[in-house]
Amino acid sequence: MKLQSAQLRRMLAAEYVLGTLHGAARRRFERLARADAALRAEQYFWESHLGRLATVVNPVTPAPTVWISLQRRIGSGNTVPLRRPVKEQPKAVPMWRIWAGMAAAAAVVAVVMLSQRGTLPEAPGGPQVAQQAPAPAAPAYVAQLKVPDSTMQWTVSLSPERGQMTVAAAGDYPQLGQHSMELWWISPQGPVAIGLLPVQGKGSMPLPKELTAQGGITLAVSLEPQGGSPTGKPTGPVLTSGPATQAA
Amino acid sequence: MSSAAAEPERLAQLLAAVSGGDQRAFAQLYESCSSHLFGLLLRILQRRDWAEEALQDCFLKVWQKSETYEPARGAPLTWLSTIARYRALDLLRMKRPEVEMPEEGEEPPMTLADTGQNPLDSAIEGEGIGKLRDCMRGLQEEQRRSVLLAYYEGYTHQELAQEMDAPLGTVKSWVRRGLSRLRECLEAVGGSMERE
Repeated sequence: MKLQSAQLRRMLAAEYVLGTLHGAARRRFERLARADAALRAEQYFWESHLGRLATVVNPVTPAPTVWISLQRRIGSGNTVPLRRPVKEQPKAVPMWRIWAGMAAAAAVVAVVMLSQRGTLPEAPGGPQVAQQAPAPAAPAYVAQLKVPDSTMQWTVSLSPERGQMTVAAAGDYPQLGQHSMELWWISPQGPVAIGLLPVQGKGSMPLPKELTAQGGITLAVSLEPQGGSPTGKPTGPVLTSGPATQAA
Repeated sequence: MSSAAAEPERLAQLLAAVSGGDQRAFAQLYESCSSHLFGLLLRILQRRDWAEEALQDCFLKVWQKSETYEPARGAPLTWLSTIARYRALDLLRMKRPEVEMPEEGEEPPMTLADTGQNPLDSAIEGEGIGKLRDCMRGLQEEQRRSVLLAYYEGYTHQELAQEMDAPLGTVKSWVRRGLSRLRECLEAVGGSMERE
């Protein structure tokens, strides 16, 4: 099929890029442009010019969960942790905004899961968590979680079948103040609360039985009010996140 | 302006690395561009959940097809904005009927007030868009407004007619004459007269 009139071709390309060409006409343009270099050139002309309108829109940092799910979708076996751009931190995007997007989807699952999770040790400051549970004989998965711009890190060993997890803390997080650090399991439906992380020493926590390693395990740590998130969903910034890999 | 706008060469290198399957480059690209694209998507889609969906789709496409980037389509960030915006337009056409009434308890749609700006003004006053701004200024008021509303709101002709309270045929000709004049102006000014 050919579009004869040069004027019509130009206008179709312009309206395609602007977006006022829609529905079947839009798909038809895409088919035509694939086979027609001159039409593509018109399209690119408008894309390169009108695209500059996008530069006047204020940037908004997306929720960290977007990156985490994106990694799942590209089938990344080895999650690449994102650095938090330092210069963006003082901008203090309101927390409800950071988490609002996933709240709807996560709420149902998180609430269900939370109502079933085991009681976690209270964690006021010092070496806490420790339930003195013996470490799983053979931890099936291991995760290293490190908080950027600090020495704080945890080695997490998980055994989802046994519903067990042990955590060893190292380093220090001087900025903690009157806060707790809470661990989340990022399920396809959203974050599931696991418990408060120790800032030193070792501890163990029960894992909700519903969680399975199928499709990979991604963990995240958020900064929460002392004692943990009051809502059952993350309310503070994500300090770090990463995958748990099968232990050798 | 976002840092990403200032470093097209680095972004082009990242895109090249991403087309070779480099996940670290992909992460860096996401770090550099996601907030810029997310701001644009929020502006068009007005809902955070949809904007997140579109952002993921956009980067997924970039991961799978980063080799389709051509400098003729603009600077890397411009191209990414185009990909993001096309995805947003498709989502809008699918979902727009619901846009007016979110379920109770759901996050209310973002409004212009939430984004703290009016890009329709920024587009003709703002720095950074050079000759496009100059050419926009040369349009008649209705032409300019209909083009900018279509760009930032993703309006169809019908929606434009409703928004601008004008007959459909009139709005169509505003859009088309506006685009024709823009094209003439952009070609006349040429690439060499870029100025701020």
